[in-house]
Amino acid sequence: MAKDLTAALHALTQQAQGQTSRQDKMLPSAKDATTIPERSGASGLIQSPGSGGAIVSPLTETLYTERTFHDVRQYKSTDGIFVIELRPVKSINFKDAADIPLVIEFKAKA
Amino acid sequence: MADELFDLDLQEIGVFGTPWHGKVQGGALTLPNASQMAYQQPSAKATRLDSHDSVCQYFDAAQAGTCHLVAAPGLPAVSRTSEEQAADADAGQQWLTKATLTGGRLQLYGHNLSGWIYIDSVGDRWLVTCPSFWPYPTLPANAKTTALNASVRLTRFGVVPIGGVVPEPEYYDYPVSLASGWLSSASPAEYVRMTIDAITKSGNKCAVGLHSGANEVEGYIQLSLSGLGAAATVGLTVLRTYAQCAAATNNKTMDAGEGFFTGSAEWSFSRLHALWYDDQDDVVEVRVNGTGQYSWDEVVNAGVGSYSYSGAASISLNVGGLDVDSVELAASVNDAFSAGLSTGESVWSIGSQSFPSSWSNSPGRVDAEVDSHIMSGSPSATWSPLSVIFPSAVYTGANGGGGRCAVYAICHSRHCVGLWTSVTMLDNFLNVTSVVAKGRVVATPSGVRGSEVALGVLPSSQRRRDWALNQGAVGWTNNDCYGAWDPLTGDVSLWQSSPICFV
Repeated sequence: MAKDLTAALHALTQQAQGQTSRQDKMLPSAKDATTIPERSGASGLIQSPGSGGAIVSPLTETLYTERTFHDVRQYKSTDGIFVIELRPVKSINFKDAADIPLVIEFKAKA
Repeated sequence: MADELFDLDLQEIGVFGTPWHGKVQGGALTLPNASQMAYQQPSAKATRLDSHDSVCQYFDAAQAGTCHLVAAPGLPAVSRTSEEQAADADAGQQWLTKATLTGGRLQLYGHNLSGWIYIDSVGDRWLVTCPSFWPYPTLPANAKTTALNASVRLTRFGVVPIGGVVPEPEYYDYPVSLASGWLSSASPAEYVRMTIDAITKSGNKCAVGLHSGANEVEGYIQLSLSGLGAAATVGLTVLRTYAQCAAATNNKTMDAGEGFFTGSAEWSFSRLHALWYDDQDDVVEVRVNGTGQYSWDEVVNAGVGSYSYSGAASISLNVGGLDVDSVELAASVNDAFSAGLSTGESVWSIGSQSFPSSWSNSPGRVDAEVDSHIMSGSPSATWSPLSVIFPSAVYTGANGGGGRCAVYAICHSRHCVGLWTSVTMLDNFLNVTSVVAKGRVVATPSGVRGSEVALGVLPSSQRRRDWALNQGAVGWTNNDCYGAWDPLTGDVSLWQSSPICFV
């Protein structure tokens, strides 16, 4: 015990005097980080559109006959002899892979 | 109409039509960048009016270079960026707001339409053909007492079919006729053929020329269209009668008796040579007019006497009432003879060109009466484009040599007309040894081009068109008569040895 007290007192005295028994050591070099593989996330089943869920590819047109069109637009050859009549698409109905209905709407040319 | 609609328009449509314009010769189109591309040569045979798919069997050099303008009203200017313009120039392309129908088969974009395009009052385009047209292409001997009956068909044109599916043709037929007697009783009974000579830029009028075997204009009839194609008004009228095409006066006084022969004559003529439409769709006449006089005085008694002849004429090319060119001719022959010996002299000139000096101071006589040829043309002039106006002032030398002077009216194409003078030299065996020919100005709907052009003295192996007229249907490749006018630029190209046309 006495010995322990004496050693402890000595150590405190040295510490008070700025002395320590710790020996300095070099830090080990840092290890290279390993690559993180790509991962795809998945949410739970989207129960209803508009609830903030994502579109699931692919999109598939539902029915051709459901397309809507803008008014007929005529394009003339520069000499006015030939005319191409176009019916620009206005909207197309789709469903995504999760069978969720979607609509793409196109602007008419100004 | 639904079949004519595209379904999708996610990609913008740029300019379309045809960018290929330039001069076509030998089946090659020369582009503005000097490169060439294969192109169907516009036809020198005319479309039969009564058969959309057939052509007349005669060759017509004036058809080969004919180019009708098509111009729809109200088209916007073609808009191209500077980069596109540079690319166009590099590729030799030109995007224009006008088109052309070329050659006898009325070619568009390199394809024979065999009809013309009528642009109706709302801008729709209609192909005009005639499923029936009688009498055609030649008028029968009883044409003067025969009605002319035709059916004019308007077929919707220029709507691009969708997906290659050609819609059922939409067409409307309109009967037209001219009552018996439409052909003037003054018209010649000889063979007359009909060709499309002029079309307005919207196709609402078409002038059909009646041409004699010598390619002289005998009359014009006109098809006219108005209103919408599906409910059009179609008319057929006589545009020019024979009397309006060929007017002439000839006043001759003559006194003849034993030992003397004297007289004088004055003559004039006005011959319609071509017909155009101007920008207002009004008719423009191209006429060749002439006036002249001559006198003669011959006194012969027992082989001793004198002979004198003098004549002068002026031949002019008149467009829309204005003279644009004229040729003056003069002849003077004086001869005194005794016991078969002649000491005559003669002086001839045509335009600014005198007869060869070898002709002067030579014995001989003028071996033709000028007036007898004025209206008839050369009997062998069975082809266009030439009509002989003042031919056969033939001078024959004492040993058979001599020559001939002539003024020609030439139709390089239906829209490219001019006068042409020539002096032909004959050797002692009456063979042609040389032809001195001078082309003069040519008149086109966009103005008069050029000045007197010396064509040089040609060796007998390179005789020009006048020689072919006398020789018949041979040697076309040696006849430098082809020419054309470009309604898009106003350019002309003349004296070509093979068919040429602008597209």
